[in-house]
Amino acid sequence: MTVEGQLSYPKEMALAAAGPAVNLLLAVLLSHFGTRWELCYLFGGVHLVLGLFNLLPILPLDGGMLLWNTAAWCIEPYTADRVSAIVGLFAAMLLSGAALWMLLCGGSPFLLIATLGLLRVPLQQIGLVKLRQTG
Amino acid sequence: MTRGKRVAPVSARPDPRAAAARAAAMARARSVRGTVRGSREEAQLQPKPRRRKSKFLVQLVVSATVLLCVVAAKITMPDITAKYSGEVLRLMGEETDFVAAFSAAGRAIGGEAAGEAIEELCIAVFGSDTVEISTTVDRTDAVYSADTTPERVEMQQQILGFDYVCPVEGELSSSFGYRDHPMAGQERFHYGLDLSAEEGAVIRAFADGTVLAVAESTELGKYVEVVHANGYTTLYAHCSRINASAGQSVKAGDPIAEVGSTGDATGNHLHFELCCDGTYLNPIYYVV
Repeated sequence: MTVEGQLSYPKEMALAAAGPAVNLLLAVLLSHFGTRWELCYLFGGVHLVLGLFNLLPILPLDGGMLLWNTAAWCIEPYTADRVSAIVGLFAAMLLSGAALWMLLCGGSPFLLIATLGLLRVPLQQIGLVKLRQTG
Repeated sequence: MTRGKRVAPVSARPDPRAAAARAAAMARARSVRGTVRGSREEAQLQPKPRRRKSKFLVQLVVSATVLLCVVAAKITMPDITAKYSGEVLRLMGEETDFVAAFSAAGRAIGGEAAGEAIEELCIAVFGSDTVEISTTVDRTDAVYSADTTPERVEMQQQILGFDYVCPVEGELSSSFGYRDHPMAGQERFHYGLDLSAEEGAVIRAFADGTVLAVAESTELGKYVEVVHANGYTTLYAHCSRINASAGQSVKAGDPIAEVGSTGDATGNHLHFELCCDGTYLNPIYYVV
């Protein structure tokens, strides 16, 4: 993206919310047509899961961006960095634990792979925040 | 509230433009003028584009090498790669029914039977303890099975493609499907038909074919297995006597055995199974 840092906080929040909003809207819409056509349930379910996944408060997902922008708007950006790092790390750890439990219960390993990938950015954030404080 | 020039989140975009924007914002926040676009910042920015380019190149080379290796493996050793790709696909898809999971999610918000849908979702995602996916069906388990969902069962009528006769003149005492097992007292799947008849009543071959096996087991008693055209096999169990021998070719209606109650049977009947390539069919459609 080349237009970095040009949008104001509310506008960027609207941008981040647009994706999941469409997902959830389509999920509700499709599920209502499920009684007529079975496949609607499948696609509605996929939209629901994708929308909820994007709303996770982990950067760089939409949920993470919403959280960051809210914090930056209400307080200031550097605190927002710290807040989103902590929340993101906590959420990613929680999800990884849940995914591991699911795998041990006999479920699919894919969620674990996805949640371990989600850990990457919060860990980077933690690293960077630490560096800036000492350096 | 700090509005004005906003700063991008630290981790998400580590590239020179973010660094410059961050530097500009920091300068403005501290009300320092004139040093932002100074030579020190520009000097710092220089090495980064070159490092990024070589990193990108390395990624490209590694990916291309991996791709070429996989393609080479597929061309030179197709059977081994097929085996491994089968393994991977099995690992990916076997434990979770993705279609059921997402459909259940959709149903949960659709409003129709939402509670059941959520339960279905949990089962689809986590798997169920009661469902067993068995790859081989032991011959002695084929008559009565405990707690397995019938994986290799086809309930719809198939067109056999050959002439057939009713194997024995008798009454239907137990049909294909779930039933209470008379011996064990719990519900099990019955993979064949039970036709009750007098002891010694003649059992005829269902159709033209070759006798595959003549054997005896604790559950089936004395049984005969005959293979027919198009991959169909029939089994006749609990016989008192078997008149055919393995390898003998028979015609439809040839007497091959006599009704009895050998094995795990409560009375004199013929336990008749019809199977096609390992899938159990419902014989009721062909036995009048």
